[in-house]
Amino acid sequence: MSNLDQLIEELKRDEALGEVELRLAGGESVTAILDDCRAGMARVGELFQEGEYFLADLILSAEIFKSAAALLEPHINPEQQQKALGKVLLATMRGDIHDLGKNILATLFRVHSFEVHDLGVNVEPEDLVQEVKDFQPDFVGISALITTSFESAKEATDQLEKEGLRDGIKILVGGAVTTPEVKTYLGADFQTHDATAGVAYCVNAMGGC
Amino acid sequence: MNFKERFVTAINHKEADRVPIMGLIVDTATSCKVLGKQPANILDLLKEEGPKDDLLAMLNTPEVWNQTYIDIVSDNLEAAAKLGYDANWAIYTLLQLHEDKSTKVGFVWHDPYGRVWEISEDNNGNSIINYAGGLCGTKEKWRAKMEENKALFEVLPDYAREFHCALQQRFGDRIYPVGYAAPGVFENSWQPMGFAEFTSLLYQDADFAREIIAFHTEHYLRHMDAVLDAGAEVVLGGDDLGQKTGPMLRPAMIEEFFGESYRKVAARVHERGAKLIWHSCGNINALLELFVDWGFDGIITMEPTAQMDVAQVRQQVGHNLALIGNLDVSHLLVKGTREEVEQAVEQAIAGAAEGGGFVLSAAHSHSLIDPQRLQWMVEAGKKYGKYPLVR
Repeated sequence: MSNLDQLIEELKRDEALGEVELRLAGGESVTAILDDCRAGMARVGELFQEGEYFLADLILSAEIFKSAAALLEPHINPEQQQKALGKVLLATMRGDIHDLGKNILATLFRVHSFEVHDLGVNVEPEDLVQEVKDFQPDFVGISALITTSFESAKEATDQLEKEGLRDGIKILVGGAVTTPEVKTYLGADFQTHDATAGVAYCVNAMGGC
Repeated sequence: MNFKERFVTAINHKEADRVPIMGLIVDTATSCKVLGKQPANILDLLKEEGPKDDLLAMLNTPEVWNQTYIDIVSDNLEAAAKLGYDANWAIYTLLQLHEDKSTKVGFVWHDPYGRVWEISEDNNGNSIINYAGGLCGTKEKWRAKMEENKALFEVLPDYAREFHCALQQRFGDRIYPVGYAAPGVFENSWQPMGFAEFTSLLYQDADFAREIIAFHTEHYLRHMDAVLDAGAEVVLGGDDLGQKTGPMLRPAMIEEFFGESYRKVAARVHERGAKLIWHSCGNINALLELFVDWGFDGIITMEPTAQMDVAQVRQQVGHNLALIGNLDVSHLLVKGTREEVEQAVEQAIAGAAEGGGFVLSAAHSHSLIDPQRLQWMVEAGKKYGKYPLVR
């Protein structure tokens, strides 16, 4: 394990960012640095799944990753851009304005090389459907912390079905109030309370590991 | 045995004549449906054409707010009594309306701690509010907000005392209003800043995190005193310490930063001769031992959709904690069948009510809960909850 992996795993934000800057100044490739960041994040995800780490740890690691990515971004040239593993569209539907879980999910997807388009909160069903047409995602992630957004989510999934857009995508629902019954109600493919499980599902579906 | 004796007996881990039933009604949508009233929807007022200065000035006058709010909570208690509950929680809060063009409605509520509550509409057209974020994302902003609201923090406990005394006077002979000092120290600490921001402090600026926690602990003790002044024998405190898969922070970190605060709260309640029941949403199985250690006397809600199994909790903590809960509000009390509701009640009672120490309730409250299902819960509670329990 490189020092940077370990610093991220141990949630040492300032030291980790200092290490990123040091390695950039030393002329190291952005890809190698990013790979180490991803390895550290993967370890945090494992520790969360194992029950060693908790939500706060996951959020802090996501913050560290975002800051590291911001430091690296100006140094990335187009040739170094990696091909995205898949495309993910995220939304919290009309009736709900919570975004903590969705934001963690967005960061974790980026860590795993997915291209993410986040529509934000209180999203109208027709806006989500339009974005599916424009962005053509492999996955649509619908996040819910309160039950009031279920009906708008249902409107969106029904509309996707009606317009023949449903077959090409996998729909994930996640968040505090979601249950297997909600998954069935929305006709979704996957339901979870755990962002790392959602990402693992998509990685697996894209044939990754 | 009356409702109060039944409730207090259960909290003291003794068998009453039957398992008491408690309501968690806070939504006007639910209480109005039960009472057959038309809800007074603030959205209607906000949607009207024209300037809102007068409306804002009126609602933002604490005296007007307090009177309106007591009437709203009175409807909740009235509905709870009509449903046949023995008790219902009662939470004092003070909100102020602010214009915010970035939201759909154009207005948001602010609370004195620095939270923003967004106003929206549920699928039935009821106005609902949800925590949307904080106004105190930095150290400077937090300190400025606490300074700005210094005078308000002085009078808040007085408002809370008047509120709880008024409810006791109005309902004391019909239903037990269980005073709830909320939000707690954890939520008051992180929500005005944002979870990511506050979490970062715990790891990177622990001294400032402790300053925030100490400030809120001091204020919370005064709030709890105000609830106790209404003559309560059982009070509620609360903080959502869990999310669906587990605690929001490492349990060791919760102990390190918040343990002392919670011990102080429990000690204060006990000094005043009352019992402290703690509310937390989410999966809090990993915190139960800490709750006992801090001196909590019980817990309320135990969300079944967060892997909180009331029978398992009873096995884990024995009679060191009274348990209040835990009928599912994501499906069961929204769309469940009568048989499903009955079965869940029977199961909860069988799992936790032997020897007392159990109060039947919904796992939470929201505007889409169906009063008919609540009625079925009450009827099933009375059917299966008679002591001695039939095995």
